[in-house]
Amino acid sequence: MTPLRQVLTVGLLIGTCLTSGCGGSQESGRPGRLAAVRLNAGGSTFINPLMTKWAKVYLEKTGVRIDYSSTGSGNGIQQMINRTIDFGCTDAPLNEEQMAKAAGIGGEVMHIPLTLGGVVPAYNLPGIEKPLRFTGAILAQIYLGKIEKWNDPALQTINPDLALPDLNIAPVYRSDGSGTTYLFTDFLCKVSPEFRHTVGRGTSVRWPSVGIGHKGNEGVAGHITRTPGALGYVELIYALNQKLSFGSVQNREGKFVTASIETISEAARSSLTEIPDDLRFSITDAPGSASYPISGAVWAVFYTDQSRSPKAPALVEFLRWAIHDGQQYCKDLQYARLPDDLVARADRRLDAVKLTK
Amino acid sequence: MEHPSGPPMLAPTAASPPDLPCRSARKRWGDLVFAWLCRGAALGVVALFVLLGVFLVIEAWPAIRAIGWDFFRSTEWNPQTNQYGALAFIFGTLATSALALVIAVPLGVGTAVFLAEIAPRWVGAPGSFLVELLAAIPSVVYGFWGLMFLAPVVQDFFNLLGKVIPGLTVPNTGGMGIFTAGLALAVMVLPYVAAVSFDVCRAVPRSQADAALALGATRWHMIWTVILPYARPGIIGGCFLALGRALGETMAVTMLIGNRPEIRFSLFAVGDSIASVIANQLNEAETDMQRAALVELGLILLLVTVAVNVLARILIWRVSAVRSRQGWLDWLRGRTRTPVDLPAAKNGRPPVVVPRQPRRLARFLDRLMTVVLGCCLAVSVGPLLLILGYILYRGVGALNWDFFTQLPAPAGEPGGGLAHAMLGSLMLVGLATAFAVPVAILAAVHLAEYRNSRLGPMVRFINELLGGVPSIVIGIFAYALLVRPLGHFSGWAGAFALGVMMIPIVMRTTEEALKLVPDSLRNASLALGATSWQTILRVTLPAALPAVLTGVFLGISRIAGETAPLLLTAYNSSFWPESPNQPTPFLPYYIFYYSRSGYAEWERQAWAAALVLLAVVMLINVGVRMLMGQRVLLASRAD
Repeated sequence: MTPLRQVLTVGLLIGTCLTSGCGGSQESGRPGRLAAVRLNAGGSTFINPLMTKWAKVYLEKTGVRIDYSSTGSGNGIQQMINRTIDFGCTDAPLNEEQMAKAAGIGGEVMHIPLTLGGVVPAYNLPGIEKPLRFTGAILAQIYLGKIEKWNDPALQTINPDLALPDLNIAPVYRSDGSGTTYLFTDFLCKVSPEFRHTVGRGTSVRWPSVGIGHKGNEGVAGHITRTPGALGYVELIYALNQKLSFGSVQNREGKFVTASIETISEAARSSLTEIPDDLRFSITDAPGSASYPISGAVWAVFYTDQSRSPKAPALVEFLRWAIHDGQQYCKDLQYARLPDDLVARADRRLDAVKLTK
Repeated sequence: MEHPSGPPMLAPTAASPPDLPCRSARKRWGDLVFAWLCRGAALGVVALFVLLGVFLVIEAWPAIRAIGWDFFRSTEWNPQTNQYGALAFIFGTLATSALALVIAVPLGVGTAVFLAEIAPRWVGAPGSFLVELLAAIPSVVYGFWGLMFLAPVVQDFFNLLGKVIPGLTVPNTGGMGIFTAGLALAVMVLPYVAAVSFDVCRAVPRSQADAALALGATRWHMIWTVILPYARPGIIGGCFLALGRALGETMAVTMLIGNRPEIRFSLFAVGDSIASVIANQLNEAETDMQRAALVELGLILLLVTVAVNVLARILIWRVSAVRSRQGWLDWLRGRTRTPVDLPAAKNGRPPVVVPRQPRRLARFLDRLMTVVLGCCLAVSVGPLLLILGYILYRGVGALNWDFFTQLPAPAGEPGGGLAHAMLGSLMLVGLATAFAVPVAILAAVHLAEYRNSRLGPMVRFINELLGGVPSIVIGIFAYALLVRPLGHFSGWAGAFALGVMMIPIVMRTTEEALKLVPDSLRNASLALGATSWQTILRVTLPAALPAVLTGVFLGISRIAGETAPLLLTAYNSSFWPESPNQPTPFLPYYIFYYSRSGYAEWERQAWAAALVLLAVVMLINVGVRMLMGQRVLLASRAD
């Protein structure tokens, strides 16, 4: 009986210690572990691999720790507005409702673009080796349920040298809120009035009664690989890593452009004149014959008035490093660099951060 | 408070320990403190449940106020226009659950009847064990299996239909949809139907069955006219329990249902369920209204499952009052009550007296139904063998040293492992156990040792309800309590959610175990001058320890594969878990994440992860049986 009793007593003791320990450390946070500055950030899952790399390099270089949790753009914005993190990262600029809410809590929100990315139409068509061509109008028609077959005349006309099969198109979209959905629907809204009226743009939208939903880029990509005839939209990085087949998309100048980090950067470069001063821009359907039309940026968002935060200088310093020296890490990870002119404009915005009262 | 469904107090031997005259103030203080500690734990369990409801209502309030009854009338769910209607999700939840029950109930009841009345021992024991294992497989593993195996088969079947029936247009959904989700759910809830039906069949008084046989009924006749009518309320209760589980099921459904909120009555319909949309959207809700609407969906789910569970308990208690509670546990321990050894029951042919039916027809019917019921068992166990075999086949090849020691490799690179997720899972389960076990044991002590307490029936009832709350709802609770206010996902929140799920299991088994400790032990200890807290801590609990450990391990095997609540709380991370204060990786997440990726190397690792998880859960289940053997031994020695 004795060993049993000991086990029990020790177990109870450990249990009580641990539970009381939980409460204690939760309240006190983690004091004294790092005397250096620690920037809390979160949001976009898309930028997470790059941010992880940046955090590692920047810690070695300066001792400043970037604690980034990839919880999704929407979450990043929410937390930034509520001041639970120092800056948020998002694939879509704040909408008017969010700006209004932020204005009530901490004033104006600054948007600093950090990197660029693109969304590609990926598909599973057995026997088709060459990449397909798509237009925005056709993609919109497919997602509206108007084009149902792969050998639809509209698709066949722009792909004259491909023998498209008589196969049902199985569209797949994101069931979770996502910047990828935002970019894709933003593009379709610009090129198809019908899509704009019936679906609209957003991180999660009400899809018409066609196709099925999956959570995450990996869910969409997985469905595509498993299902012959499937068509979905995923981030370029994901399509490249997963070796998915993806098509080129017709841009504003009528050219069919395949997504790459060069064509995405080009979209930003050629849109510079259209970008507003607050840098809340959209570069989908960008001008320029070499621009990839479904491109977008990831922004760091934070309150312009940082006079309350002792960490503000470190924040501005890090962001400045990210848009200058940090850009060299983009290419290896398949992110598109910011064009130099855009960096210059972001620099000017950073100068306007209010550090003191 | 009078307990509505009133399980009669289980008082196997005696009332609570007598209040001895105190010999010293110190001893009395000790008793008082300990009694209050136990009462505090019991009240804590009640408070948890109340808090759960309150938090959900608070979080959902903006939506309840702004949307009102339109929430139940509209199918439009559009965050862009701020329109939120729950009807499509309610439909999807009901449709999949109904489909699951239509399939699972006949199969489950047939299996139970076969195991209880017909099967010889050498079939019965492994048969019941296998069916029980079905209940132990984590939801995400079912989803994985459904995605890789079931969905393609279903799509092929649909395509075949399209070819055979002219004019039928078959959509290409990769097999996703309400039908597939319902099938997977059926396999998942089957063990619940079977387990409860088995118990209530066993609870039918033997004399009734023997009387029927003596009057010349065939075995099937006896089952049909005596066993099933007698057990009907209990079986219906079991169906409600299964319904409660089906309604709240998240992972397998979200992986298979297609996630398109619409109402369509078709074999090929794609849909969405309440639990699924919460898992999909809550983390990334853009507006406060969207979040509130999602929480309101969770609230609906909570209310419905609580109602279903209350109904189930009432029905089960009605049929077999005390015996069902014991029977359930007996069955879990793998002990079968020895049936009365009648010569008639042995050779399977009763001494026929005056059959109403022509004898040959009756005998034919008897044989036919024996075969049919046997087939029920085979069909129920079939999926288990399919799942186990498939996972073993795919998983073993992917196991290697790196898998247990490395961090994940970036997409596109071979190698890497899930060591961090295993460590994270270990941490979460460890913390959850450390939180849940003391609370559950103290509360169980309150129920079992302070039987005069008026709190008892209410605490017991609330605990049963807490056990029936869908895991995704507990996830929302932890999210609202620990994630939202702190502003970040954390291992603490995940461990808390898992702990809340573990409490009911540990508490139920501990209470039952304590009640089985003979009162002579307690009386002897008290007579020797021990105080009641000393008696409980040094005599009663140690005597019940093996059974208590069983409960703990059952609880661990239940939470080890849990995914849905952790998506909202621990969130995952791709690094080593440094502290529970940060987002924490966990193994089931990678099954969910990798299995859907379509990327060969990741899929391989998902199979390996599923295999590891299943192996752990199965080991625990087998281990529990061995422990229980020890318990019986110990109890007899103590007596």
